[in-house]
Parts: sequence; structure tokens; C-alpha cells
Amino acid sequence: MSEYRIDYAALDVDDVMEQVRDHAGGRAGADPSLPAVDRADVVLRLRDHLDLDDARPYQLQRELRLDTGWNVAPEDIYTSHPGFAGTLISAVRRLLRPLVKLFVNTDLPLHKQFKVNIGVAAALHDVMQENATLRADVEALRERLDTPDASR
Amino acid sequence: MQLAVVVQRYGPEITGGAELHARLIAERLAARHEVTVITTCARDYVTWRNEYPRGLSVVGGLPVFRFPVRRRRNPVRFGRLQQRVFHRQHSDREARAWMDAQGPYTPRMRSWIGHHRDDFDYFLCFSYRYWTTYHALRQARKKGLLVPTAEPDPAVEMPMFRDNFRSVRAIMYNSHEERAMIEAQADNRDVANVVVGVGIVDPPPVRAERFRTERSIDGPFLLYVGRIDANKGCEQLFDYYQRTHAAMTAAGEPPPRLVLAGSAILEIPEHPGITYLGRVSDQEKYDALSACTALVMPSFYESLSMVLLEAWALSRPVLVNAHCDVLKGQARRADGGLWYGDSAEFMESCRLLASDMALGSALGAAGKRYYDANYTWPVIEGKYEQMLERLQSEDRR
Repeated sequence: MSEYRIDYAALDVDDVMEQVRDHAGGRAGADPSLPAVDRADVVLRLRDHLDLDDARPYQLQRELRLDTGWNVAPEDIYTSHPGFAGTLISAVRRLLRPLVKLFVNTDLPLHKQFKVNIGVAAALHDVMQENATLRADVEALRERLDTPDASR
Repeated sequence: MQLAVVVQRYGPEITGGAELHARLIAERLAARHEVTVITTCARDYVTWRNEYPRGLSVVGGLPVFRFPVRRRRNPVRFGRLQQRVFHRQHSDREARAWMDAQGPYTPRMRSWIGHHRDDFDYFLCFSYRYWTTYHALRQARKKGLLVPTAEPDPAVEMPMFRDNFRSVRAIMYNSHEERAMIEAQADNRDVANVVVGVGIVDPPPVRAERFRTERSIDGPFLLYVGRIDANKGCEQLFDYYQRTHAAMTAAGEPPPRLVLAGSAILEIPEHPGITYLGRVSDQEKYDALSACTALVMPSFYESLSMVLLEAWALSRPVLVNAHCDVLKGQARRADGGLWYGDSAEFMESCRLLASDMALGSALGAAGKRYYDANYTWPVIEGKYEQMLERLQSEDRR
């Protein structure tokens, strides 16, 4: 392809791939089977879903009617270690928690993951809804094409 | 040396994956050492049903000890446990239950290895995740060598495997990416190791024209060889290919054909650009490889792709899934192929490979040099011998 600059004698695939990516980016939207995508809008919507600073994930979990068992939670580590030892460790840790919390919140990473998971589930929920709407639109358009007389 | 090769299945009918890898290595090592294969009576990796007779038999000139699998795999129980141990916090007890459910559950093999540990210098165990390897390594203690054949799936992150990765005597990795992944998980950099991989069966003399004539295929084509399965990334391949075909046709460019060879588990789309050959003979596979514009490998998870090596042995370029670190790393190190991370990159790579024959030749030639330097049998055998000699000299001290 004339628009590529390739040194065949000293081939460097990283360089070739860089050019491939440039061309692929340049041709974005050339694929007739795909609609143009507003990337900035997608990023904004995803960030909205993954907002970790408020209580919205819990609200989303209720709205989506998600069973709480599906997600990771700070309690998981104890429920998976049943028996006397597990119960004892759990009780000791619960007793010590107020003291530990003065220095570090050990539950924070799991809470963050908990929220991220709900955010992802919500984003998937949106995608599926969007997909269902698009499918209905396509069906309606196909029906109009199949019965041209009816649309006149 | 007296070497034991431990693998979950073994036989000439098993033509893929770690089992073929184990057989090729065992047969090569047998030229210099006394090799005994320790395996199960199972042939089917889904059920582990006992199909081969138990006891001693001879396969390819090597003695093979087969032990019966005591429990068939219960897919429902296994699936439930796998969900738990892969995606949730879990106890050691749950991890062990998952391992037993995965199988092949062969307690007689475990005790046999324990009793006969002193009869062998080293135990070469294939595929870290199976019951047979997990327990064989524990029984073999400091005589255990591991060929992990690990893929970047959640199993490798399970804490239960860390001990084995740390306590084995040596690890023979398939790729640099596999080593980096396991070292990151197990922090086992001090364990003796080498990146080896496996060689391939020497390709017979090939005739590209014979394939094109017999199959009536003209013009450029991408070739996929292997199981046609969603797990191998074929669903995405079909999607990307159909988009590429539509876009190139709309732009007035002749699209390359997609030719598939292998058993189909996934439904293959009815499409004018897709040709399905079914299962082909080795001769036809090599003819097709020598005739193709590029070999396409869409898999997300590979520890080493033997068909990639076969393409390079025949000086053909490859097009691989960039989301598989191993495939991308190999293509990059070899300068032997391109990779795609999305449909636009797939489309552009197809366009480039189909139109620039000089690039295909240059990539193929670079791939061949890489294959010759790293994956011919003398190189592979040399790496195994060096490791065995190193361990033996350490043992003598």
C-alpha cells in the first residue's frame, strides 16, 4: 500500500502496527455496518456510572433489583470460613474494628470494588436496554420495508 | 537419567494442547534417557471417562502406566465450585473441592508416585491446574519439574497453586509472558527456570498450488486452523471478518477470503467470503498454510500456539489477537506478524496483508528466522538437557 512506509529489509512490526493503528483511526466510520460513536459521551456516561464518592451504587443495586449475593462484599471472607475458628476470628475482628478504624479503614478497597461492580452492572443494564430499543427500531423499519404499500 | 512424565491424558489420538506437548517432549527425551509416562485411563477431558486399559502399555516405544480415574467430572458441581473459587473469596477447603471436582481424580496415581519417588531422578509434570499434576508435584517433592502451560485465566491467581510454583525444582515455561504472569502471582523468581516451549512435527514437502487447485481457492485468504469454538475467539473473528468484507466490498477493494480448517463446535455463518474445509489431513493443513496470505489466530487465551510455529516454519505471516499477551508477544519478538485489538485494526491489517505481498514475505521470513532460532527440536532438546544437567550437578554437591 503506497501510504505505508515500510523498510522490508529491516522490518519493525511495532512501526508497522503504529501505521496500521493510524490508518485504522483515520478510517473510523468507514465501516458501513457501524454507526458513528460519540466517544466523549460514552466516557462521560461510564464515569457517571462508576462514581465512587456517593451512595448512588446502593440505590442502583435496589433499582436494578440485584440479589446481594452476586457481588463481592467485605463479609465474604468470613462466610467462606465457617466453623468455630472462623466465627471466633470474625468476632475478634468485629470487636477490634473500632480500634483499627482509628488507623486504617481495611474495608475500603472492597467497598470500592463493590461499588464498581454495581456501576458495571448498571452500565450493562443500559447497554441491554439500548440494544432492545434498537432491535425494536430495526424490526419496525424492516416491517415498513416489507410492506411498502402500507407506508404510502 | 530415569525420567517420569506425568500428564492427565496420553495417547496418539490426543492431538492437541498440553497432552501433545507432553508426548512430543517425552519421545524426544527418550533418545537420551529412560522415560516412563504416568497418566490416567481417560481420553475425554470433559468427563474423564476411563477408556484406555489400566496398567502398563507401550505407546510410541515408551512405557506408559495408566491409572483409573475414580470419579467422572460432574459439570454442574464443577461449574458451581469454579464460579466460587474464581470470582469470590474462598477457603482452602473450597479450593481443594474444586480441584477434586476438576479432576482427573486419581488417588492411586498419587500414592504410586509417593511409593516410587526414589525410582526416578525427576518427574516432569505437565499443566499446573490438573489434579494429576497438582498432587504429583507434592509427592515428587524436590524431584518435581513443572511445565505449567498456563493461560491468563483466573485459575493461575488461585492461592492454592502458589506453593507448587514456589516449591518445584524447576519450571519450563512456554513463553516469556507465561513466566512474567506466574512470577507476578507466585513471586517465585528464585526457582530455576527457562523459557522453552515445544517444537513441531517437521512439515512434509508442501505444495501451495495443490491446495488452491483442489479447493478452488483464488486470491488472498486468511487461514484459521484449529477447533472452531467461541473459546478460541472464533465468534469475534466471524464478526470482524464480516465487517471487513462489507467495508472492503463497499470501497471497491477485493476482500480476502476466510478459510477455516478444523472441527466446528460453533455455528459457522453462511457468508460468501467464508470457506469451511472441515477436518483436514496434516498434508493438506501444511499445503494450506504455505498457500495462505496469513494465518489468523483469534484466541484470547494461549500459552503457546503450535500452529503459529507451523506457519512460521513455512515462512508465512500471522495475524493474532492483541488481547492475548502470549500471541502478541511472540509476533512482536519474531517480527513475524501483525495483531489487532478491535475491528478497525483487524480490517486495516487484512487490507494491508492482502495488498502488500512484500510485507507478507518479509514477516514470514522474520518468523522463520525466529522459529529456527528458538523452536527447532535441537534448540528445545538442548534447553531440556541443560536444565537436567544443571539440576543433577546441584544434586551431586
